[in-house]
Amino acid sequence: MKENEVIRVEDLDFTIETSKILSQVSLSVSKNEFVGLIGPNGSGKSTILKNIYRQYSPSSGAVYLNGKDIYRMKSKEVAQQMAVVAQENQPDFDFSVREMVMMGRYSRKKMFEQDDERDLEITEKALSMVGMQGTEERSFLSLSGGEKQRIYLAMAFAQESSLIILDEPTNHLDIGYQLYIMEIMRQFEDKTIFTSVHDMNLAARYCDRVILLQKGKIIANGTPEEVLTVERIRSVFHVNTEIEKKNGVLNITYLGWTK
Amino acid sequence: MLRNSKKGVMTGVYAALVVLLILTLVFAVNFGSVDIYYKDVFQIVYGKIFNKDLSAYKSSQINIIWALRLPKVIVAACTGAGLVLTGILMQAITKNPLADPYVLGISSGASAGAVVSLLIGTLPVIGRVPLAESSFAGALLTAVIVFVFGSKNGKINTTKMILVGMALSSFFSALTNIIIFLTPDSRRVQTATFWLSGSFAGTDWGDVPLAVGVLVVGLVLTLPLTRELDALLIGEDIARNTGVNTVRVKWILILTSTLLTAILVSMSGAIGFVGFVIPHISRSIVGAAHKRLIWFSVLLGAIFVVWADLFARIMFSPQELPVGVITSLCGTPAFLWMLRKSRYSFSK
Repeated sequence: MKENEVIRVEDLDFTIETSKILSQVSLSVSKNEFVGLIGPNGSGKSTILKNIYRQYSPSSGAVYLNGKDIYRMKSKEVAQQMAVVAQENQPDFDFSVREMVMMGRYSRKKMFEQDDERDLEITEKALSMVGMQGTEERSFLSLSGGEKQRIYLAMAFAQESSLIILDEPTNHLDIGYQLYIMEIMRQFEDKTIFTSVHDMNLAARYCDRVILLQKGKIIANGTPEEVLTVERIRSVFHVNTEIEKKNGVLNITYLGWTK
Repeated sequence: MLRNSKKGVMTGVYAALVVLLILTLVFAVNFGSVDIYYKDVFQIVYGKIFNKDLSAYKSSQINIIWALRLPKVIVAACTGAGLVLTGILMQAITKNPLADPYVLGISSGASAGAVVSLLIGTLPVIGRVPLAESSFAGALLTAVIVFVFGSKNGKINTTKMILVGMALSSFFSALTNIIIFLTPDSRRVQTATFWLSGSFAGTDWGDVPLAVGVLVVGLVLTLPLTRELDALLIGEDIARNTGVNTVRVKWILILTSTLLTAILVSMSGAIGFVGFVIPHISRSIVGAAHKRLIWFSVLLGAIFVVWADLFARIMFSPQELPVGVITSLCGTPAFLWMLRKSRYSFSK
C-alpha cells in the first residue's frame, strides 16, 4: 500500500439480488488528487461511491480509507477523514442555514459538548466559501435548489476532512452552478476530491485523473487526455466526437449519436 | 418565533413552562366536582409526603386529593410528556411529518389486549386477565412482530417497519372489533370504548412509579442524542455521512419509543393527537433543532394533557369523558389555526 493513498478499493464486487452491478473494481485515489468517475448511466459510478461512503456494503472486496479498512472504522472516525456531498435531498422539516451547516461539525463534537466560538467561525467560513455568507438565519427550505446544494457543500467543508466525495451533486443544477461548484472544489490544493462527473468536458477541465466505467468495470484510468479518446467515447457512449486541445484543456464537441 | 433566539431567552421560556406546569398541576388537583381550598391541597399533599398529622381534614377530602386526583394528574402529565417525546422520535426516525407514537401499531396491539381483559376477562390456562398486563402483552407482541419483519441483519428498514405496523394495526383493530361485536353486555362495551379512547379514570398511585420511571428513562436515553436526531430529521444519508452511527442510534430510538408507547398506552389507552400535534406546534415556535424542541414540547405536552384531562372530568360532570376525545377535539382546531397562521411548513 502506497504512503499517500487516501482511498484504496480492492476487487470490489457488488451484486443486487442476482444482477452484478460492479465486478472486480480496483482503484486508488492519492492525497490532493482530483479524480473524476465517468461513464454512462447505470455503469456503476454512484454505486462505487456509495460502497466507499458505506451506504452500500460490498458483496466482496475491500475499501481502505487512509490505510484502514473502512468497514471496521467508527462512524465518527470516518466522517473526520471523509465528507460526502450526494444528490440534493429535500427534507420535510425546516432548519436554519446555520443549524444545517453546524451538522457538519458532528464528528468533531463529544456527546454533550456545546457548539463553541470555533464551530461558529468554521460555519461562517464554510458558508463564505460557497458564496452564501450572511444567510445563517434564513430557513433552509426557503432556498433555491442551487443554494441548497451549496449549503450541503458548506456542511461538508465544516466537517474539515481532507477527502471530499461528490456523488453527482450537480446533476440537476444548471451549467453555471456545475462550473461554480467544480471551481470551488478546484481551489483547495490540500483536499482530495473524488467525484462522479456526467459531463466529459467538465471532467476534462477540472480532473487530474479520470476513471472510465462501462457496465460495472473500469475500462480506462489516466489523465483526461489518455482516457477520453474519440474511439472510446464512441464505443462507450455511442457518441461521435471531435476532440481538440484549446489553451491546454481538452475540448470535446459532440457530433451526434451513433450505433 | 423563537427559532433564532438567544440561549438566555430559551432558559426563561423553559422556566416559564415549568412554572406553568406546576400551576396547572395544582389547579387540576384543586378543581373538580368537589371544591377544595388551595391551602388545603398544599397542606394535605405536604402532610402526606412528610407524614404529618392530618386529623384536621375530613377523610373524604384527603381521599379526593391524595388518592384520586393527585396520581391522575401526575400520570396525565407524564403521559403527555411521554407521548410527545415518542412523537418527536418517530417523526425523526421516519423523517415523516405524519408520524405519531402509534405508527408502529403498538397501540392497536395494546388495545386488543385491553379488550381481551375488559370483555373476555378470563382465558383458559391464564385465568383472570388483568387489564394493564394484558394490554402491555398486546403492545409487546406487536413490537416483536414489527421488529422481526422490519429489520434485516440487525439493520432497521424504517419504511418496512411502518408498513408492518400499519398492517398489524388494521389486524388488531379488526380483532378488537370482533370482540366488541360479540360482547352482548352493552355496559361492558361502553367501558371498553371508554378505555380505547384514552382515559385516566382508572389511574391510581400504583401507576405513578411506572409512568414517571418510563418518562425519565426515555429522556435519559434520548437527550444525549439531540444532534443525531437533528441529522436524522434531514435524512439518514446525511446523518451517516456526518458521522452518525445510524444503525445504533435508530435502534436506541425505536426501542425507547416502543417502550414508552407500550407502557403509557397499556396504562391509559391510546390518547390521540397529542404525540402528533404538539411536536409540530412546538417546531413552529422554537424551530426543528432537538436541543430546544425536546424540552419545550415535552413540557407543553404535559401541560396540555393535564388540561385536557381536567376538561374531560368537569365538562359533563359528574359524567367523565375519555381524555382522548378532548385532546382531539381541542387539538385539531388549534393545529389548523397554526397551519394557516404560521410560516411553518412541512414541505415546499
